Amino acid sequence: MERSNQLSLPTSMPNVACDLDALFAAYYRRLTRLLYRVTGDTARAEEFAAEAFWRLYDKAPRDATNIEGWLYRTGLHLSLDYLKKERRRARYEALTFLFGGAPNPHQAIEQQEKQARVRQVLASLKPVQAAMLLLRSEGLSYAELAAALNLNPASVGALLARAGQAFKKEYVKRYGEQD
Amino acid sequence: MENKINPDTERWVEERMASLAAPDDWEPDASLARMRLNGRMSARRPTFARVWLLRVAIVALVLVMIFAIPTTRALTQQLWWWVTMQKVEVVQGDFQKLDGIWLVPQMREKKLKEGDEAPPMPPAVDFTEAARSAGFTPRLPREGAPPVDPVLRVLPGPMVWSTTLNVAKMEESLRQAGVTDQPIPKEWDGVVFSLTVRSAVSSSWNPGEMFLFQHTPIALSAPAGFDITVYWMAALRAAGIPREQAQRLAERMRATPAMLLGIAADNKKSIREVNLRSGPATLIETRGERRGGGPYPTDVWESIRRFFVDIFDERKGGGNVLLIWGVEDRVYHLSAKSAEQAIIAANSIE
Repeated sequence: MERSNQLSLPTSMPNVACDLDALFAAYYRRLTRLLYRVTGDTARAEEFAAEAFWRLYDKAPRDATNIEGWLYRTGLHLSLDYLKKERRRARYEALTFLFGGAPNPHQAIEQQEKQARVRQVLASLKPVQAAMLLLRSEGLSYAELAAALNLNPASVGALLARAGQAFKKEYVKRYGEQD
Repeated sequence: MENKINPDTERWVEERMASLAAPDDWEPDASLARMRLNGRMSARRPTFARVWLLRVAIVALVLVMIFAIPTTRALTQQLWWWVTMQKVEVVQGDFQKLDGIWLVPQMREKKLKEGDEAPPMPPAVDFTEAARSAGFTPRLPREGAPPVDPVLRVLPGPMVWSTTLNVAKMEESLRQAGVTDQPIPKEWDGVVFSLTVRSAVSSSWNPGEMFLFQHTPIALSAPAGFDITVYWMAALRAAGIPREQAQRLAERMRATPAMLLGIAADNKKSIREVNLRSGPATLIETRGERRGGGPYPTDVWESIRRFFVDIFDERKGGGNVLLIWGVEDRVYHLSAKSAEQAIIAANSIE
């Protein structure tokens, strides 16, 4: 059976944009920028965003009430997974840094190191905690966060607090309070 | 556990998370991504296979007919698996007999009829544009290439080679090759088997001197549980390759996923393996004197067609040497005037 651009989502759902073009127009940019926070690489961010849309097309979720949240969850799952795999390379990257490469301005290096530390800590958190912090930093409200991650809206504040504490605890353990 | 975040902690976390923000001036290219998604969707729908290759067009037409039959449609809905192939196994045999039955891209002479040609692709304005359109950064040789900037052309959409398996025809082709001990699973009947290359970039230097075609690894798709070793082995035997050799090659292709590229047995080519810095490569040379000498095609469609159809058509002035090799994220086909030039250029690609 051939599939069309129209996703096979329940049509009874009100206000659900079932058209792939409309979904792309609505969410691609935001999703890609969110995933950039995890990958730090524009090409990777676009790759994972595209993969999330592909999965949406390929295996449309049964519950079509929150496609945006589904896209965020899928994209974050892919990119956090990637980040975890990348951690293994960190040791070797450090060596590369010692042995070669054009010297960067000190400030740029500092910024890159800071970003790398944040990503390392995110990769070590529970995926849902990392996702909460990332979505929150991307500007989602508590209500949007709850919808995106299928959480009870009443618990979002508490869960976010725990995620923040877990992040800080892990960060300080690894790098100290003042970085 | 504390449920409200300490404002200092909140600020502390926010500050660090803010460092991850995407650059303000970066704008993800939604239209390009959408186009690629369309391409990927098309790859999943073989009836939309490209029309520029006559054989594929015919297969696509057959698919449309087959998809209309419910029993066959059910078979095509099985779960699929994908495997990406960085390697290309080049084999000489009677592959021309396999057209429309076995999916084996071939290098051989073939003239397309008028109207088969796809519209020409304009060259990319510059390297950055080529990289953006292709979705990957093309790599170029630092040595061995003529000292001019190459003309870059991009094929952003997927190239799809696809066929619907017909067990009766497969068995008949084996019989014609004198093979009677190679059973074909009956459940293969009606399943779609395809090879896809997502995007490609061609670079040509001084027409006729050097040509580099690079593309993303080849994706092979087939229904879950499909025994690819049996398929390759049977295809090779149908092309006249002896049993032991076919089995060895098929097993190697399963262990290190590779695409099979056939060259007609009567085509005067020498095929050998050479070692590049990045690993083994296949070097294909035309034996004897060349009769041609015209300009090498610069149009990407023409070039791609030539690579898989008649790259060595001497009357049209094809290259003397073709070097094929793969790395983790890329497959290269480099055509040059001599083996030495090709190897020097290939070793300087990073």
